[in-house]
Amino acid sequence: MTKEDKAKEKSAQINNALGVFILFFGIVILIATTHTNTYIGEMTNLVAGLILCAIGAGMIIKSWMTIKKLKTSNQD
Amino acid sequence: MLAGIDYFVVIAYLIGILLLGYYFKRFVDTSEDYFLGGRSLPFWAIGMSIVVSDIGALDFVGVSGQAYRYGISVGNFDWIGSVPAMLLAAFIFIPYFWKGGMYTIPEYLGRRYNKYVRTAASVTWIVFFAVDLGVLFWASAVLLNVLMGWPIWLSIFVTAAVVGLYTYFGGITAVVMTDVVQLIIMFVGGFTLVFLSFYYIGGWDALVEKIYALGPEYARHFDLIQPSTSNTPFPWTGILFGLTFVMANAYMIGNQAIVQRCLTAKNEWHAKASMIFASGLKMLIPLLVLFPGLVAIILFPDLKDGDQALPMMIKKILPPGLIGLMFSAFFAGLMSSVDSMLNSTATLFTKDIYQPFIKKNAEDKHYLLVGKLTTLALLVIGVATAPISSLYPGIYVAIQTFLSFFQGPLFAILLLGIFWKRATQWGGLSGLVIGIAFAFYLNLFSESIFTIEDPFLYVSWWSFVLAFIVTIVVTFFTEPYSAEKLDGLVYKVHKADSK
Repeated sequence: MTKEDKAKEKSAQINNALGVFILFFGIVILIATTHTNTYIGEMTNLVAGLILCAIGAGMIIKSWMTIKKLKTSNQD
Repeated sequence: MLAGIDYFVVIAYLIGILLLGYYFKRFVDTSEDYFLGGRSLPFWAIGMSIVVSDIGALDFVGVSGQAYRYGISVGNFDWIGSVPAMLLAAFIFIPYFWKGGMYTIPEYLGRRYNKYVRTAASVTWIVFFAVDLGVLFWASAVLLNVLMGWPIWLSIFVTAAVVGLYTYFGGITAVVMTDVVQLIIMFVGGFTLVFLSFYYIGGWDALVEKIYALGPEYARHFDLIQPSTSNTPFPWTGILFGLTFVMANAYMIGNQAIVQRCLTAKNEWHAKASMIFASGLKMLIPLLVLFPGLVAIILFPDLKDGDQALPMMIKKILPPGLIGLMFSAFFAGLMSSVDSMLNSTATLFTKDIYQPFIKKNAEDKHYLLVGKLTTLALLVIGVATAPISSLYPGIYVAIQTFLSFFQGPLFAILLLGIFWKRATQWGGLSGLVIGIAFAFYLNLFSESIFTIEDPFLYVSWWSFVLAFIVTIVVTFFTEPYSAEKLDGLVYKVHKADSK
């Protein structure tokens, strides 16, 4: 693996960890919707939770794709 | 007090951020990894880290508090007070620091002037960071006290334990990457708070009308420019001369905690881009922090301490779950400022004091250990000095006042050093020492010299002016360095000039 590939792998591993962290809190906020009494509160938690889930999942998927691509190119 | 789900979110956040920071331990093998992240970080992460470190303590708690007391003029600190300086840093200063392979700003000053300037600048920053750590621990304690009901000292110890451990293990990579998470959550929570604040108050027009109706003392709350006779800390003269010309530039160009992040970039392009990206994000910050502070005037008109405005708003307006997350992010912002200071101070001490004066030519692992141990020692100092900030009317004022003791003189010699090849080592040293001494004098006798309550902007300006003049005057009586010696240290000076 070249130095550049190692840097990319490091970056992907970091993004994966960050994505998991953000996704976890997105899910918690979505669950919190059930603890909310008002309609505006429910909608707020729903939207905020979905945004966090989207960011977290996006980071995880992107990092997986990078790692997979690096493995494939190294096997070749 | 918080609901059960909010407690869960706060505790999970604290544990999660600790684990995340610990995870980054795998990327630390050398002192360069610990202090500069192996020079491998991307611009977007660095840019987000610059912003969240800056807004952690200064904006979220302090600026909301100042907006509660004085209105929107405090927003100048993030707009005119940051963006021009960040662009100047990106295009002129950062490339020199990055190309020079430097770890610290004092290291640049040492190469440009001499080792005495380097040591004086480094010691000054170390003392500031050590005292500032106490201020930030105090800010965290105020938050935890308001929202969780925890005693002040317990809150300080919890903050110190969490931040201290992940900074100790993961170095600047942990610092930058935990900042990325903190910024995302802070922005999501912050914009939600702004949206709900306006929803409850009935919109912008209703907010203006209700605040004006409170009485004549609120007549200037919506003036971005305050008159020079204003008794707030933000008259336009102070904003223009003290903030825009001096403090903002000094902060973005000469602040170790900010510049060190740019030095972690994988190449020069990323170093520049990180600062430009950060300036774009910075323009959004006043929107997040001013409005909740203003709405708090209507909802909580009798707060004794303006710094409690934002915590009270979070508790009152946000739904369960998001309260916990917003508070966590808010708290994390403070942690982010603390971790930056811990890592930067460890870098300053190891590279500028320990390595040149105590143990030269040791193995790299030795310096890595010294950096880690310095981090632990600073935690103890920060906890011990935390109560000092309670003597000031607000966290923001406390930090700005501490900065005004040396930012002006430091920026004066940095500016002359990079733009004026004639500036000599003794000119720089004289300017720095006399400028700092003058700032001490102005701060100590501020009541008899200035008419406003907290004159840190004027102190910065006048100490900058004096340091600038002293450096120039002494320079004309002393011998300059050759162009060869200044290669790569002064704007548009190259070795070829000496031939």
